[in-house]
Amino acid sequence: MKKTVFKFGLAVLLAANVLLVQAVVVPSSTYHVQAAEAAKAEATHVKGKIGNISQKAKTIALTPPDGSFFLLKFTDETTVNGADSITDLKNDEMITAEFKVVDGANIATSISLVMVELEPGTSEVKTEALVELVKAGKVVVVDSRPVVRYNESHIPGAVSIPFAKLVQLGDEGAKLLEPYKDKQLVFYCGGPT
Amino acid sequence: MSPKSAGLAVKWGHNNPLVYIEGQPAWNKKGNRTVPALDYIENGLVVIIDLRAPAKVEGGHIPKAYSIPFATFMDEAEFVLPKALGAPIYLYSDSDKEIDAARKEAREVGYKSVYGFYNAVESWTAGGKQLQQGPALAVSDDAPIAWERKLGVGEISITDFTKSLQSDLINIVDTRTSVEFATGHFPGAVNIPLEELDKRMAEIPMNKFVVIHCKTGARGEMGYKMLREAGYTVKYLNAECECFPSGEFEIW
Repeated sequence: MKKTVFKFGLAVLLAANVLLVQAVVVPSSTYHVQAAEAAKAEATHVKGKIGNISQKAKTIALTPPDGSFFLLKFTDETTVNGADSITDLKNDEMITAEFKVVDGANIATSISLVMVELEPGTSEVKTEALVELVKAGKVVVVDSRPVVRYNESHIPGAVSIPFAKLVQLGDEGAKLLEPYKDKQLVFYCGGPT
Repeated sequence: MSPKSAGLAVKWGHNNPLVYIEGQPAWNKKGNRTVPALDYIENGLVVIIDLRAPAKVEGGHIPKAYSIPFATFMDEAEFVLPKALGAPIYLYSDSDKEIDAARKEAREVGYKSVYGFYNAVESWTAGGKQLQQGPALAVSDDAPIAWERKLGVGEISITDFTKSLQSDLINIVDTRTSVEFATGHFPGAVNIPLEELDKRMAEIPMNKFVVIHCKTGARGEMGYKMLREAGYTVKYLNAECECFPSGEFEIW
């Protein structure tokens, strides 16, 4: 009898233990798994400008915003958003990518072209409208690209005020735009990057 | 860049600045012209070609321009233009049609940076620059235009690369695929395809100077950055090349 009780007691204890495990330990371990996945997802997202792209080696050399160097590989399974295929991606385009690390290589699962967003208080002008505005001499066209690009070729009449220079100067940069205070400004660069 | 510049303009009190998001590529694509900076034409490392008839050239041309009359250019562009296909080439004439046709021709024979310099003579003088009188620089098949690019960070010149092929102190690493390598490669080169470089880096001795290359410079540059980060003394060939099964090669 005693033995039976003991046995029963053990069974209850074991059952209670299982319940305890289910009630406390299991959720806590689930929580840990989620945290680990979140950390992994964070580490496998990259944003950067395409420095170089090799279709043969299926590799993209990215320059992240901090100026470092990041090698991203892609496969036939890599999905692309914002472009028809990876062959349409070009140097200097800004992309974001989700990737997984396989044998030390960063394999992209998806690549997205970063789209341009307008800042508040500004509006877009299309090519046809700009052609008319330039013809009429009604606007000051500002080339935001680096000076070397401006030197090679630019929209006739444009002035060169690189974006990098404005950023570098901080609020002193306002002086570069000051002469055109009463004019309609049009900013352009090398396309949506 | 431009949307953010416009954002700064708003911050500094400019009223509704416009942003031409499509940018210069769309401008050109829709048939609108662009112009170079005159100071760059005057002082930059550029190739300027005057397509007009010699008599007109002698009457006044842009300094440093080469005289290649349009008809000659259409026949001989590939023999007289510089070897480097990346050379920035500016074509001008008094006929826009000639500029367009010559530009197309230069692109077809492989030149990557060919610009039409429309209304060149007028804009040159309007910009306060002096025209040069007398004959312009001449070219021929035997004496094509000499132009060498300024080397960027980590690049080795074609001349030095060719020399390095004969040196035992320099390791040549070919980052092309094994299939490309098998169809011909530089003498003494070791083949490590770029996609295997991170795993096989230990095969490259650290005590030798490394020169890394591919077919176009793209994979070479990536490899250069990887080796540099790993502490190698390395340069890369930023040029196109073709190696033949015979062991002969061309670099341009």
